[in-house]
Amino acid sequence: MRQALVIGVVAGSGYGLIALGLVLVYKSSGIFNFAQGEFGTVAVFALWGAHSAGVPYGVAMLLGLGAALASGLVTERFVVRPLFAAPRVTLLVATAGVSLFAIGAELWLGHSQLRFVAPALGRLDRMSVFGFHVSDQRLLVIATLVALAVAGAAFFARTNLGLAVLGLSQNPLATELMGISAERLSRFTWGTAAVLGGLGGILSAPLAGGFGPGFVTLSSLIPAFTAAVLGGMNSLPGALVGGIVVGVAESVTVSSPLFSEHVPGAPSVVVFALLVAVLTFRPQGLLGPRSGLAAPAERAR
Amino acid sequence: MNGHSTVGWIARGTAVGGIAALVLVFPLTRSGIEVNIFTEAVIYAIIGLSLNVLLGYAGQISLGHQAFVGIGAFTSAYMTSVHEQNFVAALGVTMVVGAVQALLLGVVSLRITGLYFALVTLAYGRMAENSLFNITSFTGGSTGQAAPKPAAFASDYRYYYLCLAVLAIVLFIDWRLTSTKTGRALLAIRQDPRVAASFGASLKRYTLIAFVTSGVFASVAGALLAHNTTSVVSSQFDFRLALVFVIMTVVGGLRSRAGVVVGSVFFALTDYLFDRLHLSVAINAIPVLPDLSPDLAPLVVGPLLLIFTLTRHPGGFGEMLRPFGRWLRREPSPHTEIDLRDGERVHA
Amino acid sequence: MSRKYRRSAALVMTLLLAGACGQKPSTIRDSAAARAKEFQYEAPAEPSDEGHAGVATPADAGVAAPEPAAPDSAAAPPAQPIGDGNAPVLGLPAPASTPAASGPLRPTRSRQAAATASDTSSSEPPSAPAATPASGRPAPSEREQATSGPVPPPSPPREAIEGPPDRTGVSDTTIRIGIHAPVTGAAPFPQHAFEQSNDLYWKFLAEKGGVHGRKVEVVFRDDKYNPSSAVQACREMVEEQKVFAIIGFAGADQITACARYADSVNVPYFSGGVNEEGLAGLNRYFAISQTYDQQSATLAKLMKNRIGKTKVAIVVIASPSLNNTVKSITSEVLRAGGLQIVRSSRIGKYASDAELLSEAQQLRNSGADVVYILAAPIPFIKLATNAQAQGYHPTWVGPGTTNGLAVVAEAGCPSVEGAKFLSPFPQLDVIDALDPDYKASFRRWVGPNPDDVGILMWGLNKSIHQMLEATGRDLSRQSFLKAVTSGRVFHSNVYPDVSYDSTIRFGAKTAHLLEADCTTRSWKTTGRFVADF
Repeated sequence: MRQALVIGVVAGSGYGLIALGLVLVYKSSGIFNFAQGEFGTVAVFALWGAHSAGVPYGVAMLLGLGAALASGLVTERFVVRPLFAAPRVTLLVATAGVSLFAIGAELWLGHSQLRFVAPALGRLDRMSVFGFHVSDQRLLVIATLVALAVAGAAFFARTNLGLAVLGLSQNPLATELMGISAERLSRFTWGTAAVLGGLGGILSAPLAGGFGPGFVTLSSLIPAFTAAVLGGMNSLPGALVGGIVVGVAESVTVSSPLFSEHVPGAPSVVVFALLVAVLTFRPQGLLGPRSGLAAPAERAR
Repeated sequence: MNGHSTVGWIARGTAVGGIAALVLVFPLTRSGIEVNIFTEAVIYAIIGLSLNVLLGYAGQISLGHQAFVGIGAFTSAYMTSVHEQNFVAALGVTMVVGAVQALLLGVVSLRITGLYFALVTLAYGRMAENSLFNITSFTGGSTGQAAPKPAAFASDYRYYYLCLAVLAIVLFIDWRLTSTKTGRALLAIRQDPRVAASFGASLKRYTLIAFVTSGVFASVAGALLAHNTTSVVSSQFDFRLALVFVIMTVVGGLRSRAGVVVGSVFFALTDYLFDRLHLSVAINAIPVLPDLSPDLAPLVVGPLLLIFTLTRHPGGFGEMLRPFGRWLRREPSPHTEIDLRDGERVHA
Repeated sequence: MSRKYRRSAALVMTLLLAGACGQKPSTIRDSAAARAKEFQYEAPAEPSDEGHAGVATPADAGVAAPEPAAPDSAAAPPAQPIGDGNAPVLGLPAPASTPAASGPLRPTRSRQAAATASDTSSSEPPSAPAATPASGRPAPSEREQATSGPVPPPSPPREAIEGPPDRTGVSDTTIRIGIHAPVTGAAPFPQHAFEQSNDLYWKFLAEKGGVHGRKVEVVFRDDKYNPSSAVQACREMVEEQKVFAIIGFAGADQITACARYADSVNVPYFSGGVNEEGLAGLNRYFAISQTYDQQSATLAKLMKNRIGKTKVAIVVIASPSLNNTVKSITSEVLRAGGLQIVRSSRIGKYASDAELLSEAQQLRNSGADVVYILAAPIPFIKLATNAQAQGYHPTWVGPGTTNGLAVVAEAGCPSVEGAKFLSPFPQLDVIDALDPDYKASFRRWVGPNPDDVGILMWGLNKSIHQMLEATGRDLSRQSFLKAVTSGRVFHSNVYPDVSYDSTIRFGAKTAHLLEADCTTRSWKTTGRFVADF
């Protein structure tokens, strides 16, 4: 049981990393970014490609992040910007289309076979918590998540740029009138979110024991969304908390014999139940505002 | 062209005749395996129509529609092979199961709306894929479940006509739905729920009706799908399929029946067409890109079409077909059209 | 208003369909009967009492026939919760001769604590479409066994094939054979591996004159690693391409689905050995290497005598067609003596990382030194890697599947160091000693780096060649099957020797032993054609 908790924290931090990007996009434009997972997968493919071609790991990581950035900017330019004023649901479908295209392209160019990428940090048993060995790579994931969550919260609360991004989401016209280019902000936001997604993918791929086309989307996107909702779609630290909660919930479910022997796929049931429960009883999430859901204003219908 | 001239009549007759020949007669000239593929296209049209009820009429997004279809498929397979019921009885049970699970989801949608509901449907689809469809006694696990064709429609050709008949029925019901009070209420609700409520339309009731209708259509389609391939396995109903359904409905054009049918058929036949028209050869000729196998074509072409539709041409196929439909029905073309951002067209 | 229309439309539709459909579809009746037959034969895949209880099922369903299970039920403890999900048998009486024959066949074995006791019948693989039950079959004879292994299912005897010789797919100059394998789909194999060398052996043979003056032409289809697509692919090969026979290279579910289809349309079907459940009882299905169940005895001996550790865990994918395999390995391990099963679990085919992590943890907690694993390469590698990360290094063992492929060693090392798998094909390190033509042909027709997927296919094809050779110039499906089931031994020197007779369809008796060597990240063939340790 205690081991399940540790496993949950460790797996959940992976979800949290992706949830950070989701929250960032939502905070700045009210969009549920379906393609967030694929930013991660694209980064991993680039990392693998570069590393297999002999590029040193650190440089390969940067290349991977660059690939994620590129895909984020392309998405922003060709999908998000034209649909800037469209209903958010339309954008959801559009980003879903982007992720499907990415999966299709990965299958086409990369084929469906399983590939493996080595972890960035090698030592496997850095520490042992309740008998569960936590590797360096896992610690890296947790540390990155915490650092980014804190930095992100500070960004939105204290910097001018962060304020501008928030302003854009609430009142684009006023923001433009203040002399801030909506276009640039949008590019910045999506680029950052894509890099976050890429980072999440690169750091967790070695832990997944193998990757293939669409692996981030297929394995982690829905838990990450649940984590983001659970923590509060507007809260970056919430993404961290949400990720851990979802990870622990899944892990406890898997290790409890009652559930896992009689209910196939019990973790997905739990995630679904968690999502519905949060949205029914506390839609603003654990760290959301007390008074209820405060979504960015819907634009034209 | 004046609608009343003889030439006009002949032209219309030819057009209708041509379509009828394509749909009814052409398949007889092809082999059983190809007809199998055509049948799948017909079933996809039914699925598109079912999603259209939700997405186009009720404005509810469903990213887990593969679960609706899959539940129908497994229920029918289970009833016919494990419980030895005949096809009609199995279909009845399938419709009930489809209606119930759609109703449950509909009840959830009353409380949780918009984007968040989209997430819920997504999580539901994933749960169905990982959990429900892996209950081995129900779904046969990774080996799948058998779904034999009914004896009267055992040949590929007959089964194709059966599915065409079901499509016709679904189209009919869909038409009645929209042209009656329920349909108008749904459309009004979708436009503006508060205005609709002020007219006394019960939001809840009509939304639930939409869900149930969509669920029944989808589960029937699932049953037909299972029997078409005579076996069904859970790995068929993955998240990618849900996106394909959404794409084909959106690209087909929301709220346009003809558009949705054409869009769905197009997506179902993409790999077939790709193969037959040797388009893969054209792409493979481009030296830099690796070979594109026909069954990847829908995954690459589809999303591109989706994004194109959403950004440039929101009416999709339906909008393209509208002039043709008007011509067929001898309607005068409208003088003005009010173009709304998300593809609605109101004829002045 | 609209509700009325909906209801009336539904009513009309129901009436139409009811009128058209009427009584129960004939295919279902036949398939249920076939399943009933299967059930009597397939259940005793392992010498456990589950098998007996399984055979008792028709009795439970009230078949008024001589009860095959009667002598056995006396020996077996009763009350197996079998038959819940089982299809009710439509009253087809069991062949009268079966009880007499099956009685003495059942050796009394000690009852094992099967974890998955109730699963035998509740999760059945899909029934064969329109299988025609043969009437009046003679008593099935016991299958010969070189190894002291579990008693195999008494396969139904080959039907007397009547009618004019079926020469589909055979012309004066060519024999057309269909092959299906996973190319796309979530298959763990390198993309082009199956496509590039599936007809390599036949190209090699064509240069030497073919078989009795005919060349073999291969029709290859991608089964997309999914049983539905596999059946579609096989249908196309049979109906449009008119192949003579079909070979399935990998993927147990796809093989099972296609084999059942092929059998229903009288097309011979061959594959490497996989599960027996769902395949036993098909007259035209032939396993060219040992099935998982057949390898259980060998593996138990391996665990006891070679590895020398006593604590054993069993991990098998939660596919219903593997339920009998779980029983067979469990009983064999217990039978070997001196071994203790500390954990037995099933994992999902597409298990999530959390599940695999948890499973690794629980294996570690159980203290197992040896883990029998029957899973696809991906879950196996993930499980091993997770175990390794926890500082847990059991010896992984398992039956001949695709886990013996190089890709597993490359990706799984160092976690899979010392793993021992049985395999129908030998690895690259010894293939030259067994058949030097392979690498030469690969280099000539495919490319500079011969791989082991090619050996898998080369060996299968070569075995089929032996069978075609044995049939002679007068080739029809009937003459071919006659030659195949004549009891002759087919010797390819790559795959184990294999022979069949009128009742035996799982005809191999040995396998190769592969061990993972992580210094070279490859498999070493440490045992050739072994059955004992």
